[in-house]
Amino acid sequence: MMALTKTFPLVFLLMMTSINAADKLQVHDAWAREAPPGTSVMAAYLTLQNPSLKAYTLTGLSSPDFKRIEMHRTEQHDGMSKMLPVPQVMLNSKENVVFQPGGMHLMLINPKKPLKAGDNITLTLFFSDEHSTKSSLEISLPVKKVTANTRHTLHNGQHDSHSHQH
Amino acid sequence: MYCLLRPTYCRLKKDAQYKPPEVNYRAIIHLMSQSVKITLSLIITILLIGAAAGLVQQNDNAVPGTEARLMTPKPLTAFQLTAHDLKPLNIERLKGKWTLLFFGYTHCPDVCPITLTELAQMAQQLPPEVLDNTQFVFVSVDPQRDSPESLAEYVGYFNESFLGATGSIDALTTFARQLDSKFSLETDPAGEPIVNHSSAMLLIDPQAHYYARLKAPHYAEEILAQYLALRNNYSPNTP
Repeated sequence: MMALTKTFPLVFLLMMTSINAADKLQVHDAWAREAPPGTSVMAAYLTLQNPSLKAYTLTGLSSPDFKRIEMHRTEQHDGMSKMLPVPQVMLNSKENVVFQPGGMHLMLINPKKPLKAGDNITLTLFFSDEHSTKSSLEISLPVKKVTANTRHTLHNGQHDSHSHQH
Repeated sequence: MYCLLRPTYCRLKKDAQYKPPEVNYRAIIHLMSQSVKITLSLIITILLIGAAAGLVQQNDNAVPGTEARLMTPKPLTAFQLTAHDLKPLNIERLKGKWTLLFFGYTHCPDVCPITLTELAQMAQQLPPEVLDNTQFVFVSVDPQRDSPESLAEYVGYFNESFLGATGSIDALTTFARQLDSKFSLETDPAGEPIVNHSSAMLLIDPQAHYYARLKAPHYAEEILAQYLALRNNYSPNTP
């Protein structure tokens, strides 16, 4: 009993801090694949984390660096590769959604200037919550040239993106 | 020992009122011999089926890594595409070398660059003498947007020795059909082209026979292991 009384303030403090951090959507491991010459599209990948108690919907994206950004999913079906448009992405409470090579990805269309490995891209993600309240999240992500095995890049944590919610 | 077999009886033995039930041992022995017979015949059946399956397997692809090989390699017939060096890519150009080929398009930001990256990785790991008689071909099924010139830049980004090629829709269709592959070009509501294509990687032998089909997803190590196994167990005379 004594132990419980002693640790209670600590538990309470921990709960408070987790509540403070909890409300914000977070983006991790964001990066874009450098586009080979001869094409005008590139793919970007990221992990969306929703630590809050609310569900969100990712309704779209924009970037000052591109004409247009779409969400797509690569599907292997019946021996065929297909890219299917994903109009919006549900992000339930306490859930992560991963955009990764060979799966769901962001398609960055028509860069306004040539982008090379080492450059940074600014992206704005638009969300709507359960009450249709709109919010947005601006992130910056690096362009990378992938030469290593892509299967390994799937598992490498790449923590050089940062985000601010508005 | 008896108690081990009949714990209920042992537990109750102390009770003076308790009498063990009459046991018909003859019936039990009969039943047991019946079940032994059934079990034995089952085991024999299973062994027989297993042996039969083993025989079939042996005829087909007993060597690990060669599962992708076709039952009957198919000689390719005449076709003509244009390679990124503006020379024709035809049956003559496939002869004398092994060819690893797959279909895609340059406006595919995800799976095509992933596969080309894996293929470039794999090429780096090939022994020099194997690399010398291997060619890697990326066939674009999106000729409206992919010219041989743009393909030159595109495939060269992954590996200088990779060959890009494309052709008219008719030529592409004829060629793809020979490799049991297909593609489709559609337009989405916004007017943007949607390209679907077979995801398998095709292996063509030095006689220009369609020889093996490697299923997606493509990873460097798997392509490498399969390719080397297929080459090592290749004899040009067997169909």
